[in-house]
Amino acid sequence: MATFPAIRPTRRSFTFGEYPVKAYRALSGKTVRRSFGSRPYGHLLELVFEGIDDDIVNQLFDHYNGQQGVTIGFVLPDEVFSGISSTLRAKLRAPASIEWLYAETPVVESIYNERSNVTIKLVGELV
Amino acid sequence: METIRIVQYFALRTYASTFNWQEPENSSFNKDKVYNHYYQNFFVGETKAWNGRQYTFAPFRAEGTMSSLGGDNPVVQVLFPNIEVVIRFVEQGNGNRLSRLTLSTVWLNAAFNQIKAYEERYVGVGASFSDTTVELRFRSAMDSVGAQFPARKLSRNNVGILPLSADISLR
Repeated sequence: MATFPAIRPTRRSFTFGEYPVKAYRALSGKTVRRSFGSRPYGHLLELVFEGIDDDIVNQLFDHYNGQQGVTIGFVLPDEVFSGISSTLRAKLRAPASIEWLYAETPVVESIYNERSNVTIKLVGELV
Repeated sequence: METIRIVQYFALRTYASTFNWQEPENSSFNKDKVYNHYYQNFFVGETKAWNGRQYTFAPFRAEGTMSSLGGDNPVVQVLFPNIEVVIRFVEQGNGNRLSRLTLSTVWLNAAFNQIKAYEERYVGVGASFSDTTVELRFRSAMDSVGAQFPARKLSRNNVGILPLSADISLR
């Protein structure tokens, strides 16, 4: 399982995973929810790398292809979560029974000679 | 607002009869091989004990049970992802035509303790494959009494090799 390149993102956002629940709402308005599982899934992590060198874009590009796009899971290094306390970092980096995959293809925006902005969206799915 | 938590325990017993074309017709079946498979679909990545058995997690769903005044066999479909272990237990049961299913539905409270449960029993009547899923089809073993009673007994000895469908299965 190849580790994601150890690069500190410029911006980062994390969305908690959701629990598998389906709601039934009666005509009276009352709801009953059915839970289908004991663990959350679909954690989302968006990483934005601004003004990075083309060599780093190459690393990200190679990693994406090495994981066969959205197919193979991987591990996130500490650098991706730099600036976050160690307790929270441990929870975000490796939520229980979760592996990280690319949620969609990364987007590269060229902004200057050999400089680009890259946006990467990851999803944490149940193993 | 109420919340329902339901875990389904799937206990499948498959009978893998192997037909040996080299032997005489009157000894056409080798001894059945029996395989048991135990899965539950709620506790992700965990193994849970139920009725003295260990059930590992598998992402399946069971649906379609219904009963009618006519007393027809209730039908249930169990949907699995198309992964190697599922294909293996379908093939072990001759395409899920030689299998027995005990499906237990258990309601849980917020602490995941059992509140109530009921158990249903089915026999396999076939399976279908798609690129991502495997659907196992089952019917209840009990049927209503029809016009032709007792049912005619067919075997390889009196009609030869039987075509199998959802209505005819080998026992």
